[in-house]
Amino acid sequence: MLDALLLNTGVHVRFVVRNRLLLAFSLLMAGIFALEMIPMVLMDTSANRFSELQAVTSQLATFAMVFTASLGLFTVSSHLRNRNLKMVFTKPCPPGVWLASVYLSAALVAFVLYVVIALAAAGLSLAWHVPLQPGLAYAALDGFFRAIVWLSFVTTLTVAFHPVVAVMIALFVNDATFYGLKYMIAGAVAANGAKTWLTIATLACDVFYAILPMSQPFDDRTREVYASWRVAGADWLLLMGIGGYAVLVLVLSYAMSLLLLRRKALI
Amino acid sequence: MIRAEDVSVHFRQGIRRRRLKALDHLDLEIHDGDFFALLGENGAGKSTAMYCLLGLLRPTTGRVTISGRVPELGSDLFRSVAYLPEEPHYHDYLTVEEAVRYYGSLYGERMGAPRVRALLERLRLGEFAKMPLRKCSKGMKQKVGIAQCLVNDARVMFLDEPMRGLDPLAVKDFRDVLVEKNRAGVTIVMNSHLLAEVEMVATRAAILAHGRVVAQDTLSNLRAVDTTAYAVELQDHPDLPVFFVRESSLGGRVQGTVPVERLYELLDFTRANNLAITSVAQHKSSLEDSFFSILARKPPDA
Repeated sequence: MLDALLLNTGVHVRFVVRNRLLLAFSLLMAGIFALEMIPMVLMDTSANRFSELQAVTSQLATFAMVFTASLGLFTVSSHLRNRNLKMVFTKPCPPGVWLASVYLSAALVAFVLYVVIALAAAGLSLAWHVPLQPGLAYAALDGFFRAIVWLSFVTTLTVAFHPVVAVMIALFVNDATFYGLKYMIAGAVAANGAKTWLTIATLACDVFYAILPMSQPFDDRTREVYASWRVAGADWLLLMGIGGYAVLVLVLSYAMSLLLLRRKALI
Repeated sequence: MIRAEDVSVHFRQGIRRRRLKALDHLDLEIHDGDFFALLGENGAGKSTAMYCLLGLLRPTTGRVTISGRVPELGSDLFRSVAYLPEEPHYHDYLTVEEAVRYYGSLYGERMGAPRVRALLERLRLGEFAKMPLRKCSKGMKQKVGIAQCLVNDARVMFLDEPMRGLDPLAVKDFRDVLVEKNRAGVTIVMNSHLLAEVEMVATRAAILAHGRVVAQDTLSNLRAVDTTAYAVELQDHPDLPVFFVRESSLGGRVQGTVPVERLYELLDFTRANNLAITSVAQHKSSLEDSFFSILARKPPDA
């Protein structure tokens, strides 16, 4: 099983490296990143370099998160669309192993990306004479865990739906949507009183908010670290909690995706 | 033994989810060591039947077993199974060499470079080893499919239109390999439209129409004996009787059929003209003749 897992992981990494859509997507993201960096470069002074460094790493981390989620999307949808999974499952390689290799390969690529981001930020930090802070490593790890949550969410959606539908759902039916909706409904209740449909809507929002994975787990409690890049002992514990949450979402996503994959027509 | 018992497969199609019967109470029995052909028109259910036998499609009703086990996707059962799909649905981002290595390694085989090279050379794919599959021709992809069928020591081979896209030389090579494997006891299940090809290699066959088996027997039984005529081969003569129906002639010999009741008349003619007779045998129809007559005889009621 381990051999099959590693074999499939290697093949998926090859897929990622050779996929032209992913390359185009990466170039697009790089272009957006470069455009957003222009004003920063123009207004560069030695006084604001810490905030510039924070902005650069934040931009790169966002890019890495979107890229990681797209790895699950492209890998699953491409193999389902090309119907080549029948070549895998008519050999002693169960769907569970193949699916695990999708997550593993994406997680590996994401980990490498976040390590590169952390190293790049450390390099810039040294070049700009900004003191190296442990918050840099903290932000990279936190970003990696968030990327795993997004990867899990998008991968399960891709196994269930057409990739375009999956992207639409990921963009518009996520925890942030229902968080915002909850506030809107609360406002409506305050203005009009608790009407039946508003009570039902509140309940529905609560249910969806509880079911959907948190795209930015414990965001309110990590804000301090992101602002100063100083990390206290309790923050590391919190990071472990975020990691645990990401693993939990990953496991649930894997179980659901496997269930769906087994029911898919692979012919 | 591969067995399909009362297997039905229904698909839902369109917005109104109209039910489409792909297989209708299909029964198949394939014995160990058989070279079994699934025959039928397009849409008869041959590929669907093969997908069910492989576990790629769950029957709506009925049961499929290979050596008494229900085929589960990716199970250990597949260690001794090889499958060649009809369409080249391979990992097209891999090169020819990488694809063969990957598929072989999935069986748990050690696929070192010399072994992969030897396999590719055997199929005349050596010079295309580094070519991405997406750039390969249909025939080359088919050879990759064949290569991955030959890496494990399969005891059962499922081949869906195996000769599709192959050049005549490759067809002959692969046919020889299959016959050799079958003689060594490997069970082969093959879908094909090429009846002449099937006739050369298969030992048993099932004819499918509208998802049902309309005939299932040994090939010699399927090629029915014609009780109304004899097949005769004799020395050619320009004044052969008109009731002798010529089929072919070569090197001063002629083959043809003669109605049973006129055989002695023909023999009298050969004696009178001192013509050599090579053979007189009961006339057997070709698989193609049988195929059409069976399909015509049993109109599907589906």
